[in-house]
Amino acid sequence: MTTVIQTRGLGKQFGRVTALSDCDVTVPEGRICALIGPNGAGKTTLLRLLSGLARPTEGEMSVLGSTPRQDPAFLAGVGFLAQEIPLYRRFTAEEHISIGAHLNRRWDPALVRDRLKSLNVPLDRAAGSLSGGQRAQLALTLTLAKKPRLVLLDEPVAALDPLARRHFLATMADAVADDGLTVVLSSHLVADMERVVDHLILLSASHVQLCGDIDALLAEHRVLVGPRKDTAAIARTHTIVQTVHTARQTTLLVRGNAPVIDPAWESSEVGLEEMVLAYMGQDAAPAISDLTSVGGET
Amino acid sequence: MTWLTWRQYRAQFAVGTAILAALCLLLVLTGLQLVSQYHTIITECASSTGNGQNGVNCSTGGGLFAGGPTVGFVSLILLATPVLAGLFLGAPMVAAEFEAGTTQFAWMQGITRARWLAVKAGWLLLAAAAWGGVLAALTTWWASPTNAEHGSEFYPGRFDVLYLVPVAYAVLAMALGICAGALIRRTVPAMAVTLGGFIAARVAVTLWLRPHYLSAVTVTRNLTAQFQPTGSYWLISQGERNPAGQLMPAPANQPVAFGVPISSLPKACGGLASPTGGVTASCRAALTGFRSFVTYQPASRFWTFQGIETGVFVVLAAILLTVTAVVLIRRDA
Repeated sequence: MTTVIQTRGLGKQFGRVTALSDCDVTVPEGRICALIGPNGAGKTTLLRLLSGLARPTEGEMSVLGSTPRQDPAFLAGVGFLAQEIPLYRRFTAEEHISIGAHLNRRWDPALVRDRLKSLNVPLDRAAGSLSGGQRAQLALTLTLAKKPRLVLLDEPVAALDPLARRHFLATMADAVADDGLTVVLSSHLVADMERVVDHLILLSASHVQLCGDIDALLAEHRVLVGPRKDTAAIARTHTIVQTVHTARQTTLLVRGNAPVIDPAWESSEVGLEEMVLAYMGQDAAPAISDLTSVGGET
Repeated sequence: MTWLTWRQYRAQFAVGTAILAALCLLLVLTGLQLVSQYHTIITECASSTGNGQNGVNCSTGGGLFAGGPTVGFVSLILLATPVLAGLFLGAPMVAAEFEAGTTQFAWMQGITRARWLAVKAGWLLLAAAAWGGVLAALTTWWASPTNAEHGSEFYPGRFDVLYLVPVAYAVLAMALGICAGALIRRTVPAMAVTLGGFIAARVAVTLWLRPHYLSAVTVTRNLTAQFQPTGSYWLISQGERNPAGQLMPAPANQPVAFGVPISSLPKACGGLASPTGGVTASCRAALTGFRSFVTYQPASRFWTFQGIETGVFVVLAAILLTVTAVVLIRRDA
């Protein structure tokens, strides 16, 4: 299977501030990858590095088989939609379509018009006068119209109401099904996109906590519930991601498929959101009583 | 890219054309008056040295617009016009895109930032050159009567609005605006830097560089000899020195002979103070060793200076554009 994104030890510093550190991620072709992490985890930085808009201060990366660079062939392959949904406020959708037609070798104006019409986005009104949802749809459609092989979307649904959110993700999923492209979309919530994504990169505190196909990740994680006791025996065979003690029992999220011999522990499957929250919890204030230890390197 | 540039700037292009038309109208109206006044002076004063008819004062050379503020006012406008294109088109070129976040749109299309910059900056520089060129051509026509009358076209303030140099000024202002916008990434501060930088460059070159493009000619002569450079020369300095080589004081409300106060001349020349007194032989002998000097750039160097000044500003603009290209390509968008 072709790898679309591969990074090794990727890092980005802004002065003394580390935005991203020692980042190793892999995204195979054809995946819809959720890039999840709390605010300030480095999601935007990673996407901007992958798009070539920013340069890393350390590490290497390969995107569509080359280092992101100022080269028409690379730029043609990558579509990037920034969080602030940059469009020319005074330009109409039709004029944006013309820009794209002038600046891209592969460009399908008919497809854009059809898609925007079906989404009820007017073609003849200035982008600045469109609603937030319409602007996001226009920007996404323009990003897809240049027929990239990789689409990077930074918090595309953050500004949208639930209905617009659903439309947006459906537009994107259609495009993936039609054109076989690879998508990375960031969010601080996995619930937003649980239905459409099949790959996960989890960033927290500038570090990659998890990266892989969601089914595989879920298969190697388990929730263990048992009486409150020492967890050292479990820790010998599994990586304990999160430990929650209540007065009478202990709940563990563990990684690893080794059998749990002690019958005191009850094992169950973990949900995506639960797993993500356990890893993200590194930054969050302890919301659950008696949270004693959290996290662990993958 | 050309299409995008045209679409982005067509409003500014319309406004710029309107302003240019208004300035042209101003120049044509005042210019026609200048021409007719000039012809009146020539015909009225051809035979007489005193006051001609129709209120023309021939002894002061007639005085176009009779010493009114019109010529000075229009000249001031013409000194300022080259910076306008750089201010309102150049500074926002990159900065406004950063402010709106649209660099992230434009620079993720299928063309490189280098190409984006080359096409956009190329058209804007061409527009700036056209703006400077149209105004310079019209100004050169407009100023011809005053130049003919005063022979002042080589002087700072006149040199700067004629022929070739306004084109180079407008090109520099545009490059400065683009570069400031790329470095600062905010429109209003970039405009401020453009204005400040343009004034600084113009003042510095005019005061400290232009007088030295070619070393000035100095003519030294006896105090009693007459000397006047020919044509529209540029006077850098002139004065009188006593036999000890000291610069003699400038006259201030006292009788003057040969450009210096009579009180500071030898006693033998005291007779010069009386209206009927001529230069006596003893005075002439006493003035031996007194020298008068004129340092100037000859009129024949006018075009050389126009060329050098144009070159200086074009080279400055090229440096700024190179910096812009490096910054845009190297720095994170």
